[in-house]
Amino acid sequence: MAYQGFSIKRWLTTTDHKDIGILYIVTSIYFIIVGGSLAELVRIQLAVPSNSLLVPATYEQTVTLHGLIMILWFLSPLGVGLANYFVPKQIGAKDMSFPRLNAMSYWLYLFSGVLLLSTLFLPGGGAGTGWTLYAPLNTSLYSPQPGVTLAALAFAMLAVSVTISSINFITTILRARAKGVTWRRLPAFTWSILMTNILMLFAFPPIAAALVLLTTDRVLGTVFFSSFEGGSILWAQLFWFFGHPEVYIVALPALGIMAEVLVTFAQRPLFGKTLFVIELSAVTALSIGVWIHHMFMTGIGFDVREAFSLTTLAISVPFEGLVLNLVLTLRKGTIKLTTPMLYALGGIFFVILGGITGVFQGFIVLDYLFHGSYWVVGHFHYVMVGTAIFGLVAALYYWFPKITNKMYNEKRGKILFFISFIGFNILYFPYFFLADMPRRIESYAANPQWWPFNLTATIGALIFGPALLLTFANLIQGYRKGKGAEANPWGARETEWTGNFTGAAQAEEGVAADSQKEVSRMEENSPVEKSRFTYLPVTISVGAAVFLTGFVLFWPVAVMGLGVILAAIIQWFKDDVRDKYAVVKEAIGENWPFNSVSKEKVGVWIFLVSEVVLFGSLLTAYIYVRLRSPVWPAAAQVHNITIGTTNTLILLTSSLAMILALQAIRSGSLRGLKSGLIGAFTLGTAFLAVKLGVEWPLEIANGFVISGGLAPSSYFTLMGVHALHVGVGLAGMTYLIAKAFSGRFTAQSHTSVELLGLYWAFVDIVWLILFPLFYLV
Amino acid sequence: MNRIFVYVLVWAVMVAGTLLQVVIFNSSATANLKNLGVVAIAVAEILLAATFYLNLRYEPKILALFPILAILAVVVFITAATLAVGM
Repeated sequence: MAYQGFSIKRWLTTTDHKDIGILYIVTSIYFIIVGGSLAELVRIQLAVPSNSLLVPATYEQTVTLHGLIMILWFLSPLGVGLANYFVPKQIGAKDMSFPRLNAMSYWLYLFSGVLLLSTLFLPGGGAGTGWTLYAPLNTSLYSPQPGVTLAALAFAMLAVSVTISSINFITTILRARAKGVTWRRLPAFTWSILMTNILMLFAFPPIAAALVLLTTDRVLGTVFFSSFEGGSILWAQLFWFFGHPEVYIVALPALGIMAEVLVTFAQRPLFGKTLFVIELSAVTALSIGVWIHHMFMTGIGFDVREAFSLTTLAISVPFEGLVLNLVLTLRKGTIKLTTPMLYALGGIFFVILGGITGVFQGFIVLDYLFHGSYWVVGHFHYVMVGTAIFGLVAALYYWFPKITNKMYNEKRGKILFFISFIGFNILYFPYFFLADMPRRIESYAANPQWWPFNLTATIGALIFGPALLLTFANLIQGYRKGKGAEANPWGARETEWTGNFTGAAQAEEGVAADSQKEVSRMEENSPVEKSRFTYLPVTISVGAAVFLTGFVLFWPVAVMGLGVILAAIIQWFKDDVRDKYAVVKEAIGENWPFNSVSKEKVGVWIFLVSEVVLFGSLLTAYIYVRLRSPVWPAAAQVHNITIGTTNTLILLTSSLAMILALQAIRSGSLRGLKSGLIGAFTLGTAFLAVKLGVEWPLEIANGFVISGGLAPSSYFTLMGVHALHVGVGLAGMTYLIAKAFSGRFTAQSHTSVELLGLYWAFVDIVWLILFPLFYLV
Repeated sequence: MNRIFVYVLVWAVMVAGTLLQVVIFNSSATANLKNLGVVAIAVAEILLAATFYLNLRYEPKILALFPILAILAVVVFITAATLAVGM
């Protein structure tokens, strides 16, 4: 089954990486138009000291939505879209490792954005907390409107999308490289995407944890962020553990793109490529150890601040190294000033200015001066907008002929670059003169000396915004009316253009034809019609959006949403059992050091990494509030140790049953597999029944209720998240049992048993941490 | 050694460890000593489960790097957050 040309059905059901890439790119451009319009409103409001365009509450919501959309729904996803299209092409893979999950990542991203925008239409409007959603402003006491809860859940939904996407990218780059694409030959852009996704894997689970805690605070009455012991510092810890790496998540793909563009248009190899990769890795590693520099003003101990000041300064070394690599690539080059090259050079200019102004804030004493001022706004817009947008627009122009087979209007592209570059600087440079103007204020009547700089910035915004809009219009016009492009109009040497992965033999067309032949062959040999199109990813994502909306506004709607999700997941399993989805098999290529590990297993291990970080973040929150609390109820007073111990033994035995099931099928015993799975399932169900049906009612009857302080808040939330994981494991076991009874497992083919076994052992290990922490220590 | 026997043995050790944790908890030792005992047994149980039930013995060693890196990040996070308590 194939859909030719434009068809709504095709776009709703596609799992092809190129299609998904285009969907990401188009959607993220839609979001920049929304987020950019909000920015224009902000700038018009600030054009004069006292403006009545936006009342304070609306201004706060406008700023918040602008920040959230631009960072999370535009900048990152545009990079993800480009990566979706070009990483498989650069490494010679036929598709992403998990195409259906890839489609689901996109749909979750889209509908999370729809949810976020819908908060504006709820009573009381959306969040007015700033994009950082700082506590206690994010609590029901100060922001009672349901829009804040829905915004938090939309953000959490995006975090799920990003995590799935990261697992997919990392697995694809580790396991799907064509022969010849060794680590040494991996293109700079793919390297940057690998590092970006590793960062995403570590950065998004903490924010997901924070959003879970915020949601329980707002919906179930827990007190993580409304209590003194948790409060603003706990939120800041969790948020900035995500928030600072997010800067690099946005910047690294842009740097990777700049490297590709510079190499092509300077006609020189990337200067010190090995060093470039080492620096990328160093930035990735260091960026998860600098977050406390966002909290220098919170009164955290001086030693801690000093340590994080050092790590902040340290990260500037490899980061500036990356910039030097790019600049030195131009040395002795024959430079062609095409539109993408101009944008790449503009991006380098901005990264230098943004980087230098960032170093200032690594110094504690200077941070006292700049913190919360427009100086900081100037710094991060030079990094986020200047580096990232100019880098990403460079990519759109650079790869435009590859995606569309057409050429854009080069002259118009260059003119728009110069207007954008000038407009950008008129907009953001004045911010460096506003180091005494606080962020997030809607009027400054008492400080008229700020007016000239604000007016200049607004003029800049009225130049830069429309120029960016016209840039997208230029690309659209190129797509509709542009001249046909040659196969490699730039004379680029990278693999996505040449198709030469080994340096000679294998051409991209060959790979594509290969892929097509394989799909055709599989379809011919299959008793059922196989397809690479499926409605399930979009259905699950719609179900998730409906569920979350209902969760906040009207419970029956949530039940409907849950029903849709469950029905779609069951259908997904059925499709797998019936072998209906046409899985594209990659040819054996460069897999080192994962030669003997299947892509599914690599994927599950990477998923477990994100789970470790998620539970680690929740445990950090628990340890943090417990250490800060002057009194904490003794475990024996609030918990029944006998029940807790019994449940531990039940779960340990369930794990044993699961590993014995795996062992049985390894030796070919289907009967042993069935017994093991049923045993593990029964014991897992018993664990949940004891926890939810016996233990919790007893504790609640004794007055230990979720809203009764930090101790019950932590207990019920962490236990609840763990119970949810047990539930997911049981759902997986149901699928395995059904498949086992239909006789589809053999000694040679039982990957899913092994994968669920890994997950179940992990759930068991988490309990081995929770049990002593809550019941005994 | 037969793998099934090893798995059952690991399970038995973990069951015994859990019971020992409860015994330590109910003992008359000082609170610090009790906590030390309970946590030490928990760490041992986690290592056992990771080694045998997650099959790290048989997997390529590179896979062990994933959870180690994740745990390292969590340790950095917990340490910094805990140090921040002392503000």
